[in-house]
Amino acid sequence: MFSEIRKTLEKLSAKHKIDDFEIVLSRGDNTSFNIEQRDLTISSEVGIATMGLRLMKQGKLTYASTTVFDESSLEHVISAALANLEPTALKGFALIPEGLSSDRADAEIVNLVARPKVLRDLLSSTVRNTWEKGKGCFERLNGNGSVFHGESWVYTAHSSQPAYQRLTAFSAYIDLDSRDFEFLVGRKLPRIQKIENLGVEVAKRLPKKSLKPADVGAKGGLIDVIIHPMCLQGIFNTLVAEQIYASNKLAGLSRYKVGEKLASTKVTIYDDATHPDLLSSAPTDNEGVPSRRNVLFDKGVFKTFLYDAETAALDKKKSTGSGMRRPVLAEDTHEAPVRPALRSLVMEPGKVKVKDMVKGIKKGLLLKYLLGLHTADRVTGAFSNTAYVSYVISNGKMVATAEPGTWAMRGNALELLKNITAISAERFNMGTALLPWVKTRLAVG
Amino acid sequence: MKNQRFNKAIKKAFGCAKKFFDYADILYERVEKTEAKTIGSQTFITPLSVKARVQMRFLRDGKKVSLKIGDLDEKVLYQAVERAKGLWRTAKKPKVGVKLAPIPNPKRKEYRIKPGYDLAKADPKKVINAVLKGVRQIADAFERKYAARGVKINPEVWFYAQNEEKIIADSKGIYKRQTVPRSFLQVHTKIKDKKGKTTQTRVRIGDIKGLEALLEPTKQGYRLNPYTKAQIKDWIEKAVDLLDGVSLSAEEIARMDHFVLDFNTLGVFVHEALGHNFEADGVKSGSSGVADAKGKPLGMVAAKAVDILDGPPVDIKTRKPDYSTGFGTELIDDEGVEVKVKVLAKNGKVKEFIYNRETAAYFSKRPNGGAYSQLGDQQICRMSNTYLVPADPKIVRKDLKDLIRDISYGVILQGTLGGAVSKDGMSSSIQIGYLIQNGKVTKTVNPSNFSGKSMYALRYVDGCAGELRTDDIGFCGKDGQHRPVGDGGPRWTRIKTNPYVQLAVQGGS
Repeated sequence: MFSEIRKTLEKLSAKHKIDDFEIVLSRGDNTSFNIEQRDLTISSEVGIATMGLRLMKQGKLTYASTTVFDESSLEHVISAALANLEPTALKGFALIPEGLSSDRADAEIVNLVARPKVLRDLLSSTVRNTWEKGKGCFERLNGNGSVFHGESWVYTAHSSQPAYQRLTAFSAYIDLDSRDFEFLVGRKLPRIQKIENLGVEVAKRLPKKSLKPADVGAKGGLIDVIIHPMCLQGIFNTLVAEQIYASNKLAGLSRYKVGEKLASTKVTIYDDATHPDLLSSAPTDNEGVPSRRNVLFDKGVFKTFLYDAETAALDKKKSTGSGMRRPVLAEDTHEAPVRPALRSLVMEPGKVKVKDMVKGIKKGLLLKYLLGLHTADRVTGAFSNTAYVSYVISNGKMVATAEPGTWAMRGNALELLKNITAISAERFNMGTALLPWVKTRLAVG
Repeated sequence: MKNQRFNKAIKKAFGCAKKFFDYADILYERVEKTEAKTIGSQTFITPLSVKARVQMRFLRDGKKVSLKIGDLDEKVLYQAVERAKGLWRTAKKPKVGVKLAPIPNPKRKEYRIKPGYDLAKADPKKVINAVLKGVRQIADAFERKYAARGVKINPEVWFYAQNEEKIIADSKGIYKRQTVPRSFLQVHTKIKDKKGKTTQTRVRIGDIKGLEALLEPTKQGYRLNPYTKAQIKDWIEKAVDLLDGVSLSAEEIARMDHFVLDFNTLGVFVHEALGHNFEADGVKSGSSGVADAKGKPLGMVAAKAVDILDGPPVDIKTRKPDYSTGFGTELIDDEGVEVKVKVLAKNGKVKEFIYNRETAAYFSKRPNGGAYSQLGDQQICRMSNTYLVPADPKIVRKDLKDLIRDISYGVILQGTLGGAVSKDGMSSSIQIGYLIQNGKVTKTVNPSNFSGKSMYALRYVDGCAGELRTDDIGFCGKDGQHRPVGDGGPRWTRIKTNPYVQLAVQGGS
């Protein structure tokens, strides 16, 4: 597929006197089962491909994107793009080093995509186990299981070959009564037993009752909070990352300065798109710059902003391999602008076990998810959002779920990083991040 | 020519499918879009983006198979049918076999909303220039106005205009095609004063219209139309107001007797707290907070004096729908069902859910045009424009002044950055507040979060004022699919404070 598109683009490039072009092309197949009570419904995606394209002519830059690849469609989008060239700090696109190919596909997952019966039987076991071993703990079971096999290419006109990647992904989640859920995600097939017991774990920990803040005297006060890795990723990606992107530094909107202590000394965080276990890792960023491990915080000290090629040129720095097509909100990734982006967030673990963190709390919350975090203040880092699928902790035990719509949690993401008092020894892989549980304090509105 | 090729491919695919399946249908969607974004100091322009996708669905003996493919090509469709046969053999029959309710008005084929100023005939450069230059000029004027405070204004723009086409066809001979334009502008203003204090506001303008939704023509090209200019100015002014914003403690909020919501704030509340709970696939799966899995209502969902509707906006008195406006409006849904105004709640009681063909058949109802897909994804139950209307004239006040006259301590909540929903709860962000003390507005209040228990929150509506507005617009995300939606209600609506809604204001101790 890539070779044909490359040929067509080279032809059109010569015709339109284009100096340089950059392609981000991906193609994939997926098979998934939607789970509702005991029913599994199958669906599949076959040969779904997208392409983001950037062109340079006479020192100017323009964007195009398409999911239709015949020559006339490419001609159509390229002609429109060339009529709208814009000034840029880029001198040209990156030259992709040779040998940047990676085959990260897992043979078992490739097999599951082609033979969905095996996946069906596996998920059927998960559902059966949840109902049998979690009997009486819940009424409604919803979930999903899916496998993906795909390829991606990043290529620039003057490179000798593309940065190529073949990869696979597995994901499964089980939700019980919309009160709690659990999920597994990774580029390899997890242990079968882990998949089969996914819902059992949720059922066993689900308390019968739910409590409001007033029920435990938490309303209006500061309480101890253990932040689940999923919630921590949300807070970091939505709010802290805004301070780290070089584009915001250049716009005068970042409060961060390199070398300043901006987090607890317990905190060491990387953006590591070379990490072998994360789905978001790849040989290069979307600009063909080789991926690397960027140290963001070292024992609380802020070490670097994240640069794509253009912000690096504007700030007289080198790209940190962070140039990604990052959507503003709802557009597809291949349509999004290239700008600095977090790729694979990794935080060093601590020494304390999560269960010991819980034991040490007299009155608090295990915060798994904040509803509507995307609406928080990205300039200041302030948030006030409602807790969802979270657990009320009383005298060292998780005694109830947080009653929906009643726990309004108030805080500031930048202050939160400074006030982390404990970090768990365990970490959770969310596909795009590998993070521990952290302990801090937040206000309950 | 293109359509002839498509029709031939579809016909051939159905010919193959009919040999094995009881039923098959196809949804083809194509979008051509012009887009511009300014983020920080950078501008990103995509003069033309083209995307197309196909969703195919196959049924036999109560088992369903869904397939997303890349193109409406004869060979690709044939391969999809062959793949579907294999998937069908893998699928297990659900407890209740899948059926699809019939498509009403099967004979009508063409549906169209004609743009006033058509993107396809415009020069993208002139269009984009008009938007970016127009916004910057407004920001510059504000910087001059507040020069003494050293205010620096960074308006981040996200603009797009697009033409959408979809074709729905099935193995029983249905063929329907819809073409519509859609235009959208978001200005996210970030402000910094000389003391380093930062604030932000966001405004969105958009409609199921051509470029006229945002622009007006000039001799040289286009410029922002007066409505768009006024909206941007209003929200930049509010960002400046927020420099003087105060926080409110939990104790102060506990003393309040009323919250007054503008149509944006109310709209997100209606969308998140109620609308999602009326989507019939959520009801069927048991994840609705307003009805059990059999569709039996769990109780009142709003005050007796109000109705909750979904669909094209209506005339508030005659309830006649207007299909020419509304960011979430369409003429047919993504299964070819003509879109109806759905009365979700009548006098506060559950009346109707939002159905796709599958859930309509499951609940033995007629489909009402609530099935949407994001470019090739499965057609699931979705809102379009969801809004509250007064059902009892006694709660309608003359204007905002009249509405707040008898409030001793409360807050006006304006604008939203969106919200989110869980089964029983919801959360909505508020951009700015204005404190009410003894019937008068006294202070600007910082951004906040408004949350509530879905079933109870709107039972305490006790007044409203102003015209119906459904132009609080956004992108609803459900099951990973985004779709344009509108929401709203009367210009102003007030809610008596109650144990089921919470307000938490940013800042302070």
